[in-house]
Amino acid sequence: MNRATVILAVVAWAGVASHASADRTRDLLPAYQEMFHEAVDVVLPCVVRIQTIGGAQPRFATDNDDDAPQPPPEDDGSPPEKPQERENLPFRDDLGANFMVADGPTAGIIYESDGWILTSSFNFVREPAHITVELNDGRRFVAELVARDRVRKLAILKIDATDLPTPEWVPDDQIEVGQTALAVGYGFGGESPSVTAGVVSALNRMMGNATQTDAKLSPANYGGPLIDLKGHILGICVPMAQRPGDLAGIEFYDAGIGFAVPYHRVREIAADLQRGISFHRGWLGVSISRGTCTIRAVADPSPVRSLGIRSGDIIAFANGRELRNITNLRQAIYMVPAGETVTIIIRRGRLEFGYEVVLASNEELGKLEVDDPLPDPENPFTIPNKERWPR
Amino acid sequence: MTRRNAILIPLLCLTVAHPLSASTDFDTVIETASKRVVRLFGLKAGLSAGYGCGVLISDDGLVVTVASLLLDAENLRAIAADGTTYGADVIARDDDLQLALLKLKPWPQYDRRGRRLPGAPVGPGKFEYFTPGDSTTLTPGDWIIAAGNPFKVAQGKETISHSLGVFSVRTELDAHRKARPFPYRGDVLVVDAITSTPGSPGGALLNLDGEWVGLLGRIVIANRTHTNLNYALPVETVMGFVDDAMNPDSRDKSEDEQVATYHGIKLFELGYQKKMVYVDKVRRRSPARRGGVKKDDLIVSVNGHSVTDIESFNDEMGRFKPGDKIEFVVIRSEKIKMISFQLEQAKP
Repeated sequence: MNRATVILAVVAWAGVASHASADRTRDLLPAYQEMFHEAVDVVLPCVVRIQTIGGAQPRFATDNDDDAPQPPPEDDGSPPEKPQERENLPFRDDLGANFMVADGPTAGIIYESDGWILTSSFNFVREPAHITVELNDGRRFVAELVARDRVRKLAILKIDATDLPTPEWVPDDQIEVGQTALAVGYGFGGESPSVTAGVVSALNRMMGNATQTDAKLSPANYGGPLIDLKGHILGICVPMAQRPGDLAGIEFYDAGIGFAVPYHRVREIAADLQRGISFHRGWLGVSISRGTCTIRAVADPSPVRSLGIRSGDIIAFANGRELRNITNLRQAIYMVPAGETVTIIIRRGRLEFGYEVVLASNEELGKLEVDDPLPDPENPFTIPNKERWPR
Repeated sequence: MTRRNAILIPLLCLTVAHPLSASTDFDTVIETASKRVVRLFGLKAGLSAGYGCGVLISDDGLVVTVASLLLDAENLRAIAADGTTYGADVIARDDDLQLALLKLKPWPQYDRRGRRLPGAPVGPGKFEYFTPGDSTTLTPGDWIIAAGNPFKVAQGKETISHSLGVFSVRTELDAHRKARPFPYRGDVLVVDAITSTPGSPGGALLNLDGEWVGLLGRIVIANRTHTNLNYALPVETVMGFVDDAMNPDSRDKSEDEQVATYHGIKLFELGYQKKMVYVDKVRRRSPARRGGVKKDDLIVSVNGHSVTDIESFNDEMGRFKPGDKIEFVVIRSEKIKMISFQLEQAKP
């Protein structure tokens, strides 16, 4: 055998090897597909179809900003701003004027066998007058919306039924990045559920509130389960983005960026939701000057006012993140609902103070007020009418 | 051992390792699909893309695609997998199904000196083509491959783009396109591969066995989700159109006959623009009366499909046959109620 033959033989061997592995995928692909079907069949008895009747389209991505207290106008000699050019404007028009919330059915899962249904609060942004729940066995119930979490986008419904099948949840320490994830929903209509497939892309996103997946999520899946290949639940699919608002994250639909709330967070939240306690967006109660993190006005009463924080102070850190502008601040606290604590560091002149602030809901906030400037902002403890401390 | 023998042995190894049996692997599916989908280039106007795809369904160059503005071009061209340009004539078009049938023709070429050369000939045996598969066997979760030319990425001899996904659900299309209702209201195959991109419509949807199961549909916004829908028309619908177009006389007209149904509800038809589905009267001894429908009920859903006005109610009710079980959700004095009854045949 000469050298050419040897080379050829090697090439041939490589060819055999690669084709052998191709053959293996040939066998695996139908089996993989079969696993998808089996997983969906396992979870299906626990997936419900939710229909809402009545209600209106929300106008903006962050409609609940309308309730926020408005600061007094800034008097810097410039012409007064038009009301719609407020600081939160960039967050309001993301969906475009034509975005409409889904009309079709949505999905939820049975959380506890005595009629507790867990779904996404996204399905109720229209504030519907009536909600019906259809079980997989065809029974249909009128449901009561017990409570919702506007931060994690979950909601809990109660129907008058007992002995319902409940799904298995995947323990959080067993969710792995890269494992197969399927999203099940009812939003496209049709008799059978819709299935989209992907993998778990990341864990502990959105400040530990969500598992990220590249399974295509859209209004057709929100509220439905994200499952593994055993049919166990990895999380509840919800829209999410790094900003507050009922509809934040809808613009990611079908983009391969999807989020699901995992069990440990669901368990914490659901107990409160079942008792009728809703979660609202948390507020510090400050107005921030544009482009900085300097406090312009403080609401009275508000969590920060009671701590002695005043206009001119700079919020330097929140939850361990350094802040440079209002967007940083929003990103640091957008996932903290009212009633929970945020650690902030306030810089006043050359001094820094640390605080633990319990965020308030917007009903608890008073009117925003601008404080008189400190006599010497560089040195907050200078006594007026006395000579400056020599350097 | 002679040199010739030495070469032959490895070659034999290769053949053995590559069986010719029906394959279920993505690479073979993609290889066949790319030869049987042509890229179309035509009229570009306003926001419409001016390019798309079509599926070859005969060896002499019949191509089925979606009806769109690009077909209105005088110089409609189809580019085959090998990079050859053909001309195309629209020989049939259905605005209800939003489908069109094209026939490829030679397209004159010009050499470097500007001399006109005859284009590549078109004739029997010239093209590889798809025979229709069976879309009814698809189950949610099945692998699918969408073959199209999104954003006209493939140029010249380059292969078209294939995207992998799963089949999501088979459902009736209820959609709009550019603020107008989309005429096709039949079944579609919803997939999770992104096909609502310019250039994808008219491409092929294939299953894991490489069978052609659907034709990627035009970009529409689904009314149920208000998001772009990724879907394909079932191959049976597409081939029904093709058969009708090829034999216009054999069209079966008896299918259009439908047996009228009777429920006994008279709706309150006064109103401005949008007429809500309020019950005005329920006839005595009618199926609806027996089921418990009452005057002034507001009907909000029929068998799980929500109805918002009289038009959508009549649409829904028109789908049923005598003897079908109807399930209403009605609102009666602020309370929600479920009512079911059986439709009867209308008396002449």
